[in-house]
Amino acid sequence: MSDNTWQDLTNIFRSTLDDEALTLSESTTAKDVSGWDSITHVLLVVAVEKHFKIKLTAGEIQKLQNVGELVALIRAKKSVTGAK
Amino acid sequence: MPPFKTLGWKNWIIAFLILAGLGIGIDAVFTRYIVLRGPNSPSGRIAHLLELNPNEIPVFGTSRVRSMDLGTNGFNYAQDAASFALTDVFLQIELAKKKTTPIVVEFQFSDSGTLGDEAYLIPFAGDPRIRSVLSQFHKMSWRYFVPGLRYFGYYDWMLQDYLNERRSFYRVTRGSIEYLRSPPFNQARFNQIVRQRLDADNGFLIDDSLTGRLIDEIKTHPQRLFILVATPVHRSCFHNFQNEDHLKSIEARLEAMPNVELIDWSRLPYPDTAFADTVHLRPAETADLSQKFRIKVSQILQQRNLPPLITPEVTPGVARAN
Amino acid sequence: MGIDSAIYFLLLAVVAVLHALLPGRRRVFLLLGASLAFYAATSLPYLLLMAVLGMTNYFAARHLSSDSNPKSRQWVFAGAVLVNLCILAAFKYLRGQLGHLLAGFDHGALDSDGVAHLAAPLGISYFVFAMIGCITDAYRQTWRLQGGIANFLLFGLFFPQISSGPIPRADRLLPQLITSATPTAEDRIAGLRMIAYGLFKKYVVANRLNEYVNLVFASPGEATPSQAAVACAFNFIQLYADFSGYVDIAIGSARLLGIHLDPNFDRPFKSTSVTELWRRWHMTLSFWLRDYVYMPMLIRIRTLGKFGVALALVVTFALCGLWHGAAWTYILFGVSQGIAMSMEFLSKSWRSKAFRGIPPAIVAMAGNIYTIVFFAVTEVIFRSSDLAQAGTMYRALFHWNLTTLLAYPPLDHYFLALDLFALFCWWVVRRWFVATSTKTYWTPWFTMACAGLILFFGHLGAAHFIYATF
Repeated sequence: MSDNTWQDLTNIFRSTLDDEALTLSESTTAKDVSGWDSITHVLLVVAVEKHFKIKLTAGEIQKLQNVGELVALIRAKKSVTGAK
Repeated sequence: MPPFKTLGWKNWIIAFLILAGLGIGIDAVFTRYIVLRGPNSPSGRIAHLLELNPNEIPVFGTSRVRSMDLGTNGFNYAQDAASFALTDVFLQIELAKKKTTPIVVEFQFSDSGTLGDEAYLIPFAGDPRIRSVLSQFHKMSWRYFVPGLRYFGYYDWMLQDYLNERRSFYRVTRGSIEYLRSPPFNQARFNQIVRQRLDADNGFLIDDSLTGRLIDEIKTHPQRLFILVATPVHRSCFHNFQNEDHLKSIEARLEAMPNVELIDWSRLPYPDTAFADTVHLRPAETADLSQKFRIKVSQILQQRNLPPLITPEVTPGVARAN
Repeated sequence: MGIDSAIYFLLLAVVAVLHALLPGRRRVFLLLGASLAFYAATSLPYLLLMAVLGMTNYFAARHLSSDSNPKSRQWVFAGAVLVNLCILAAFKYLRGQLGHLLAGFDHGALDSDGVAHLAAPLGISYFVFAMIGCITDAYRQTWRLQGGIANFLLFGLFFPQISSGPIPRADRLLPQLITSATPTAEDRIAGLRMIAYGLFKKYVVANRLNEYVNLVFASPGEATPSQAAVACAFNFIQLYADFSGYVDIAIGSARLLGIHLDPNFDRPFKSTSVTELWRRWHMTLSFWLRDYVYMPMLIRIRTLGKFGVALALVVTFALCGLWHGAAWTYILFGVSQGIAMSMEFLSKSWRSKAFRGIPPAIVAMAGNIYTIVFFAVTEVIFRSSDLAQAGTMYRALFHWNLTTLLAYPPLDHYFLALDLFALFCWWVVRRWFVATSTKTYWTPWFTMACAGLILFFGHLGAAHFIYATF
């Protein structure tokens, strides 16, 4: 289950930001990724919510600091909803 | 520990001293060669006014009398857009002298309400009368007392005056008199200007506080003849004259005074083509007017048994200035 | 007192000396006292208003920083934001009505026509935004209030920044005020350097160019195309010089006191898109809008996808325009920026495909030119007193035939030449400014050179008398 999360997330990032060579790590932040700015940030969140079938609150979205936190949040939400 | 122990603070002192020296040096050179370059520059005329000039007939007023030429013993002190508040200061300086020559003062039906260009007064900020009129129009600054700082913001304006005088870009100067250049007459453009005059919020208005001062000066100096002249203006100016009836009573009062000669040429029937705008004549007509005025002044001096103008004949072709 | 005036620098010098002599604990009172005096010099009644508003925000922030129950937090947050916005709206956008109301108390000035002219409190826009920012951060629990009321009031009223920004963030400025570190030698040199450069930009570039722009904008119907084009170009150049000059003076002044304010400009003319421009132009405002308007809004309408992004951009920048003043010109200016950014965003993938074969340097240069032209053109609306004037200016740009195309009345040549020379001076001075960031021993010479240029080429803010008659 965990392996898919990272791979899926990377795919989402790659398609939303239109960059096939993108790689992510725990500590990646918006600064490290070209094209990930305040404009595309929310689109990434929308794509993540759609793919993983979860709903994030406004507060949770605004508090995200890096990709590691996003992954943790996704896993937490998925275990709550029981989704795969 | 001293609060400002920075590296090379000696450099700061040296740099400041160089700047101060440069400022004062350039100020001195600028004052000598640009600002006070001669008696006919704007500031030079004020310097000239402060001298006695015992046989001189001064002309005071605004740009409308700027071209009045009384020959060798006349001198024109008129300033563009000068409110009578400023003209009065010049008048006071002149009246403080022990002279008996006539004085020409423009008689205006409207006051500009502005000081005009304050830059040329800067070298004289020490004079309390000039300082007070600067303060009155909120143009006084402590900087005017500091050599090196006083022309701050004005250098290129004054340089422009200097270049203009040398090259006659838009003004032609002959001695102390000046002609404004005009583009060729254009009826459509003139109609636009007339429209502006007719639509203007503040029409002509005789300001009693200012005319009262003039009357006071005339009364307290009976030994000098005041020649008051109102220059020709376009008929559209009378359209919204706020207190035209009052004009009649003021003029009657002035004419009744023994040391006054009032020359009201404001309604002379000039055609549109004679005007540069609604209150100024074009250069050629201004030159003609100046001739007429000189002749008229000669007649007045003769009638009153006063010493005549030193050069009563008009120099031909003095201002075909276009 | 404007921060480019002699009396301001007198105040700054006195404060800087006292600041260095006082122990750390006392410095906040010195700075607060100076800020209150600075503000009182503009208007004492408004100072009381700002102080009361500041204290209200302080208590709200304190409540929100403690572990209070969620219901009360919502109420306090909403209430505080509402109070801030109401005061801002009243003094910025309802001044006419407010003036009539206060004329009865003899504070608003009624002129002879009975029209109320009420000046807005100095820096009210900056102050309110700073307050709303920290209240929101406290509510979101991304920041907790520290320090006492003195530090908080100083945060809002700090005298270098109150008149023209930058808009401060509590999490960055408040800790500095509490610590009150002694400025280092580097701080002082950097501060003086910035102040010198800022004054240069204001007096030698902005004030000069502004005269030309004013002249053309006063009668745009009579401008020739070349005059109009020069006026457009000069307009946005002088706007940058003026604003960034003021900000440099503010940041430099704070630096002399050991305080680092956030930058407001970062080489905006390097931008290759309008989106990038707003990350480099008036940065504190655009980042504030991003964090407190754009993101919250977009998160709530995120299901609208790309359309949601475009909508959020347009609304955010319409507000950006409105922040500057209550006029259609400002709003239209803001909307135009939002539309440009939306178009850039929506066309992004298309553009990356379409420009694939072209060298990136060329694409960047084209983007740069497009950005500058777009900004210069839209700044005309920003500067115009109403839409009609803007329309006339645009028409003047295009209303040409062969004879008028290059027509240039000779009266302008002298000052135009000097203005271009001033721009050349700026180019030189800027290179020197950048160089002194590392070679700090040049700073005395740089500062005095700026002072000399200001002295001999500077123009005063008030327009010089130009004889015009009809």
